[in-house]
Amino acid sequence: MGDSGSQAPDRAPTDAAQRTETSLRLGLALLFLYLFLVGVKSLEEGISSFGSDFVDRVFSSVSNPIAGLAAGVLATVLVQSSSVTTATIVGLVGSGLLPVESAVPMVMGANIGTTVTNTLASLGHVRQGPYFERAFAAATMHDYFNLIAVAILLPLEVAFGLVSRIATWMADAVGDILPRGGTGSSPIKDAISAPVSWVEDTIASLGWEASSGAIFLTLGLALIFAALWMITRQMKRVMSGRMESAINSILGKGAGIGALFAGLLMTVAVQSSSITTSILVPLVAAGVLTLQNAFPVTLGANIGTTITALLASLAADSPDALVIALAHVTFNVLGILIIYPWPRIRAIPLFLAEKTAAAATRRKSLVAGYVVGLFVLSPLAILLIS
Amino acid sequence: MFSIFRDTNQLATVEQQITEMLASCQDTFRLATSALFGEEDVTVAGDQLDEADKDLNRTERAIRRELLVHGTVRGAEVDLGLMLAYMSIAKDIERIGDYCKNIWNLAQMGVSFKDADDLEEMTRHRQRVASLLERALQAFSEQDGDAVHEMIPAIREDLQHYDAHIIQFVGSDLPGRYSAPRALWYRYLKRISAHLSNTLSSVVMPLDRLDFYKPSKAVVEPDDGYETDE
Repeated sequence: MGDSGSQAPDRAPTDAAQRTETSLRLGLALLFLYLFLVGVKSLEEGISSFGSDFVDRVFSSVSNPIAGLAAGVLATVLVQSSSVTTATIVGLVGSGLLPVESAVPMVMGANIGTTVTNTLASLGHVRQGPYFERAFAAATMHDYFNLIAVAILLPLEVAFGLVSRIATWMADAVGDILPRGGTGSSPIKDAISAPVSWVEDTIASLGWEASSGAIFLTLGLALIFAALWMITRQMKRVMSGRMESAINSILGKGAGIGALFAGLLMTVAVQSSSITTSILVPLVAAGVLTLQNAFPVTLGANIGTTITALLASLAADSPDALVIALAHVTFNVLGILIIYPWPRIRAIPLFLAEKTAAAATRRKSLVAGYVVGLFVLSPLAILLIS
Repeated sequence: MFSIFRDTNQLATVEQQITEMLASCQDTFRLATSALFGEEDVTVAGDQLDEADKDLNRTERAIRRELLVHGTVRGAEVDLGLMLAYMSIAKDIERIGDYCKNIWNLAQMGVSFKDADDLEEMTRHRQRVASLLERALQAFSEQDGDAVHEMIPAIREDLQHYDAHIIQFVGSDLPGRYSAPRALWYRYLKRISAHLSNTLSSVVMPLDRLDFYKPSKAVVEPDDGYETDE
């Protein structure tokens, strides 16, 4: 069969060719994973080079949990990737300059901010009434779930340190099993430190020591961003067939724990919850996937996206890096345990999403108000006030 | 749990489903004509045909969903031309199933060609379409362009022949209970053949010319003897 509008149909590539391509892409993904960890290490190095006074000035503004939450939202909206934000937060915590208590609200904010991607994806249907209503509901149910989870868990974190305590306990429990951050040496850390040391030597030989903080910070952020983008790109190509299979299975069998795990595994594989949730939007819009069946996939994606922070913690010097990575996992798992098992509570984000979508379909100006208000103006206002 | 994560070539799966739909059309045509020619109990054939038709419809819907998922997951990497071609082919094959059911409906309404005076000619046409269905399945599954270039012009001749019969019976002074079933019979054969031709055209025609077969516009090797636009 043909492969384009101007050519007659060709058959699919051979299995051998596909296997070779998959192997090459997996190799590339591993290379970029290494560069990602080098990026986290560079970021740590850069932040450390600025000195504690500078860091204190920068992060004093996010010591207020609400401001931290807003910073997390805004940073994620700007880079359109919670993975980049959380990896950066892990780097900051790993450098020992951002306390876990201040980082937890930022991680929660990253969860909210990441949903902007599928909300924007739903806008592609804005001219088609019923399509748009379903698409917007599919996008905003993720927003509402995260907002409800934050509304419940942020006060508990501020009052009792619930999320960070569980994460610390988990970090202690797994510390001896998994390779983790810390002052000790490990083959992973040695491999990651080598290029950072090389850059450090090069900076010294050029006499640019005064700018080393800025150079490492820029290098770190650029590597984190580019490497994650490339990992996602390669893994999406490798995993496309499996993702199709999983989604077809969800369409056939419906919602439930299986769908949640499918969302989790898809997101772990491509290192991006936005990819997973943005795939759901057009399927719900087309009416082949119900909102109820898409919901657990979204929740699975929320847990799956935490893999990036866990990986980033491998490169960090401080054990707190693993704590904040596990805080990201804890927040998302607790959010699901609080909301998903109970049908009446589970219905709340879906109900709110459907109502919002219906209102937005009737008055399109609400769409702009919702997106700009939730993802830009509110966090910006909070940051300015605090 | 992890079995849902098996690696699949979704377009190959869809192609297989289309091949199965074509194979199913052979059965539905055989069942429908068996009932009409008095070889099979109408109700028994109807039950089997109903199940086969529902299966065709289910497969068509599944193909649509699978293609939507494929396009959504793959994004810009998707082979859009192939996806659109499969949508079109699945629709054509599903329509063949509908026309087979229409043939059975004639039998359900009490029509039987078992003792018809023109049984020999109708049997010849019945065998011709049955043979076309079989050859189309083979040509499609093997993507045999040569066979398609041979079959489509022949089908076009058949269509003209069926048209002549339709005109003959519609304008005939013979009783309605004689001429109407024959006009419908030839109409259904014409539609089945036309949808088969559309399906086959996907093997050799560019996407924008699916259903509009013309040898000079077909994508063929330059030394195949057919002219191309280039």
